[in-house]
Amino acid sequence: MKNLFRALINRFSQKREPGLPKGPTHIAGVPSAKFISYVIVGMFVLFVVTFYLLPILNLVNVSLKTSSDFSKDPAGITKTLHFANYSEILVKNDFFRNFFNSVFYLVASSVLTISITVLAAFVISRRYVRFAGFFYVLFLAGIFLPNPLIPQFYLLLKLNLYNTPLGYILLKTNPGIIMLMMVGFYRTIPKDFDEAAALDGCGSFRYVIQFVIPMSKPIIASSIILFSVGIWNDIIGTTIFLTSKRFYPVIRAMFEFQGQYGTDWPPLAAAVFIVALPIIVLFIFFQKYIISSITAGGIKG
Amino acid sequence: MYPFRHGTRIGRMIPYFLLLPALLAFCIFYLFPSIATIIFSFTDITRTGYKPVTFVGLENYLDFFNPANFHDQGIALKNSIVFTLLVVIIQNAIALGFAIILNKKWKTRGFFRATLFLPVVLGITVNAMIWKLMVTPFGGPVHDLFRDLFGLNLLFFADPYMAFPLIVFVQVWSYTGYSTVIFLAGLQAIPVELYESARVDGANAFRQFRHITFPLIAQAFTVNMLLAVIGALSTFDTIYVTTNGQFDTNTLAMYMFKLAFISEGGSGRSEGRLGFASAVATILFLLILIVAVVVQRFLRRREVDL
Repeated sequence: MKNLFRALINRFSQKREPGLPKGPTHIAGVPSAKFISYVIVGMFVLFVVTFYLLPILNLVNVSLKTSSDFSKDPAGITKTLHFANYSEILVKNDFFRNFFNSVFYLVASSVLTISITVLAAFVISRRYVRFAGFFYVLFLAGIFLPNPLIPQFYLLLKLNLYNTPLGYILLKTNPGIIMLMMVGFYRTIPKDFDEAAALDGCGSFRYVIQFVIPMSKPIIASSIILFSVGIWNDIIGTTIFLTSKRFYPVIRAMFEFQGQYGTDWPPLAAAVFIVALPIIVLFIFFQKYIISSITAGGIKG
Repeated sequence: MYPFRHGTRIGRMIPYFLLLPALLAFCIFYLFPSIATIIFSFTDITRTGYKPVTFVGLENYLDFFNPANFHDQGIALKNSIVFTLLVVIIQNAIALGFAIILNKKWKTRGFFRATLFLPVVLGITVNAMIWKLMVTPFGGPVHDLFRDLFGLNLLFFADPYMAFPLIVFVQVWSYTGYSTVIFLAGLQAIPVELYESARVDGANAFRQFRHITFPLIAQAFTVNMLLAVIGALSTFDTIYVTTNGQFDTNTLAMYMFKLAFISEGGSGRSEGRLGFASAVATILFLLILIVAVVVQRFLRRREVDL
């Protein structure tokens, strides 16, 4: 017991580092720089908790209340775990169909976009086509040009693809920023690989499938994430180009529930959380990937 | 030179075949529509499209600036400018502060960085719903707080005076994490030795910021300013999902979107006038281009290389 005390005292006294002289700037009564930085970090933490965590927790909280509970005590912590809100949204409102729609749009357009972009980015970055620089600038220019929504709408109308999933998917199959990211990535891979493979008699299709695509795994992963989040959250495109309820993706259906449920927030909150949950889960697992790919996309743009 | 020689003519064309799908998809569904916006702006094309389309020259532009019915456009133009100024200044100021705090070493900072970034991936619709729930007059915690503390029964998104600041708030809330991460990347690229030698020379925290941090994050600063300016000027999803342009919250971009795609009945003047809406889109494009070039010129000058 005695030894334990001594050990504890030693431990704490060591932390004080009595041997070190105090800096000349330290005056009694004036808070030290370290103290100030603790206060700043504390305020920051408080701010983020209040403004970022609480609103999201509030959403989850409300989504688990019964409607009568909500009208009696809207802000209080839920006393029930009323999962019926979720089943009401999913089953009664056919939210499963919307969910499936979203997944379908997401998979179809990202598979299409990524596969065509990988190939084109490869030949552009390697300058295997003439005017490669021009094509690069062309894709770059797309970011700065006027908003294409109105002619896109007209185009789909004329192609008889307005209000069809196919039309929407084709419209979303847009290399855009992903092209710039991929070209940037391929430039870091030495061209010698291509020449070595060619010398060994590898054909170009085999090279693309066996070397280029496996090499680009990291950039493909971040492109898929970046792209999927964009499609999942696309409210404007789905509002304009998909007007039939049966084609609605989750985000659009959730937005429509607002009119349907009005002030009956618990089921509405459940719908919002169903939309948000896949992204939150994805974000928890791939946080570093997502942040780096989205910021890289932004910086390149 | 393409190393994969196949000898045949078709073989030499392979790179072009690889390029073609992406190029076609991009041109047909993005590039041409983008350029067509400018062409549309000189026509009287409508959404219903029963009438034959004719070129009307500058009529749409003259109509836009016509003082007799400039009311809607004037509000939209003013709102666009105010919105952009507020968003750019507030978002970058907060983000810079956050980035400096997150650049210090403290436990669980990764968690808080992620939390700040979460709204960026949650998307504007979910964000708007989260805040609508916070401020709803039917039991929103923020609404109840104001009621209990100050006896105010505020309508928030349905209040003509509060709707616009709230939209600015939602926009800033949604994208601050993004700017923060870009600033953070800029801060982390600054070598620690610079601060150490500054400290040896007796520079205090403010001077270190003024003479080391600020010049060296100039590049991140430029990127953030440009992204925020372009983003704020061309945003309409934030407004669409919060107020749908009611309570005088139209910006130019929202006005364009509304003219083209939202039929409300009532004011028949602007229903589905794609030509006029395209003119608005083109004016917005020119505005963004000018502002972006000016901002870039102005900020690039003070960038220094390490």
